[in-house]
Amino acid sequence: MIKKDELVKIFPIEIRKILINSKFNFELLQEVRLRVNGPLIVIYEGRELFVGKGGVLLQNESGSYIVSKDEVKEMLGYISSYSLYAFEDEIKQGFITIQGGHRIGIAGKTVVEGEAITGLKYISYINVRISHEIKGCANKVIPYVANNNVVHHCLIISPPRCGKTTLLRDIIRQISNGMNGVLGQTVGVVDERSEIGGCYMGVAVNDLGIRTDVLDCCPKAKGMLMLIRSMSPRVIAIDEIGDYEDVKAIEAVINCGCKLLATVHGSSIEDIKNKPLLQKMITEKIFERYIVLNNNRQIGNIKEIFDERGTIIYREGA
Amino acid sequence: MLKIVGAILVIAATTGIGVTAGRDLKVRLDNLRYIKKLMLMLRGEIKYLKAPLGEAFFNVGNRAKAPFCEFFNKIALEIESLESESFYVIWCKYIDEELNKIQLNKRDCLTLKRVGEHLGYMDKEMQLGMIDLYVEQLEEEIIISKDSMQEKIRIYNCLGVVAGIFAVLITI
Repeated sequence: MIKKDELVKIFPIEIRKILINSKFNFELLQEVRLRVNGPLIVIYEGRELFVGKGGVLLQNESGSYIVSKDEVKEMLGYISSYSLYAFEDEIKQGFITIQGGHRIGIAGKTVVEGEAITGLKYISYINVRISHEIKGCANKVIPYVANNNVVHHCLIISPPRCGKTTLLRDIIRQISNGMNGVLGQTVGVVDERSEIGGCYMGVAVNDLGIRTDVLDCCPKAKGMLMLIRSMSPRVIAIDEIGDYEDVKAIEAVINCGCKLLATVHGSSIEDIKNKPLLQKMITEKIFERYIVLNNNRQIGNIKEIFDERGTIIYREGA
Repeated sequence: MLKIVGAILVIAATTGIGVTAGRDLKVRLDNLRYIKKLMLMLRGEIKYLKAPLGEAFFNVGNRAKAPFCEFFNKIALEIESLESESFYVIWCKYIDEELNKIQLNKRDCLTLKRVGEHLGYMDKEMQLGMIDLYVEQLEEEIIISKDSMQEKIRIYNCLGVVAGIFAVLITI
């Protein structure tokens, strides 16, 4: 459940009033976009809609609420709890994750020193991506991920905005708590962007199960090795494999006998095979399950599940 | 007889006022020293933990004595509620509400308010710089106050007695 009151607090006062008065269901709200001198836009049930002054959803721009420069500035204060300095590193990466795991993307003029981005100024664009905790959304895939007390190395492949983090979160919860046929297992989560657990002062706000330890805001590669040494997890979960360092750490995890749950951006297993980053892992059949998502019918729609040989073991509608 | 008792009471009262004024100076100096200590704690929270202001104020508040603990905790709660337009508004509000209960003069409050103008803004170095600048100002103020304090206390004590005697002479 999304805590509407908690979420609207990050918006400027005027927009806050509009959102509080609006009739729309926050569970179906995916994104809110603010652009200086631009209309207030939401992605609602997968559709782009404009928000009017009274909180009504409009199909086109006319009559929509126009966001001002001061409002974007005001919102930055709220997002950072008046402490932008505490989010320097996140701002360099272009996003801040707030309590509840909601990701706030920001854009403006970058400050570059040499080849490195050292900051972001004149922030004029904000995209609030709302995190949804949907308990039970992994019910369909769980029998493929874990059975007979064995958890399989699993890679969730999905384009952006298709619910891979939501699915991963529920898989973690179910494996940690235990479910039909599988005993609960200790799960270590490396939550680099605080999106899985939505941690607040080190404690996960989202339900990740009773046997889950979270390393919050930690780089994935370092975090995986730290968890192995410190918390002896049976399963390690990470979101969005990004670089070769992550891949190297994954190899270490697998060599230690831990099971791995991971996600990656992609549209199909072929797409992933063509990426040099994961090619080796796929040819070596490291992952035992590939879950491919799309948003054809709804967000988090499971398109296909493959085993390590690339054989389809589940297909949507089959 | 009644006149003598009255005269003694008047002199005792004015002397008491003088002594209290002198003691207030000492209390103010202690408060300035304590604020300096709290500011150094806040600096540590920002420098080593990179804690956002809400968290930093809460941590410092939990280790501070009254009424400073209320001051820091109330600011932390208001920051978390995200109800105010800026940090500066919250900062000034609680300086006026909570720190008027303690011995600080108007200039002390004004200097303290100025610190809040830039807290939260820009990078970590800026926060540390602002706190360092304020601590420097505090140190100067503490030295000045300490140097002149003994002399002022003596003057207040003498003035108290003299004012009492003067009042007695006029009224008799």
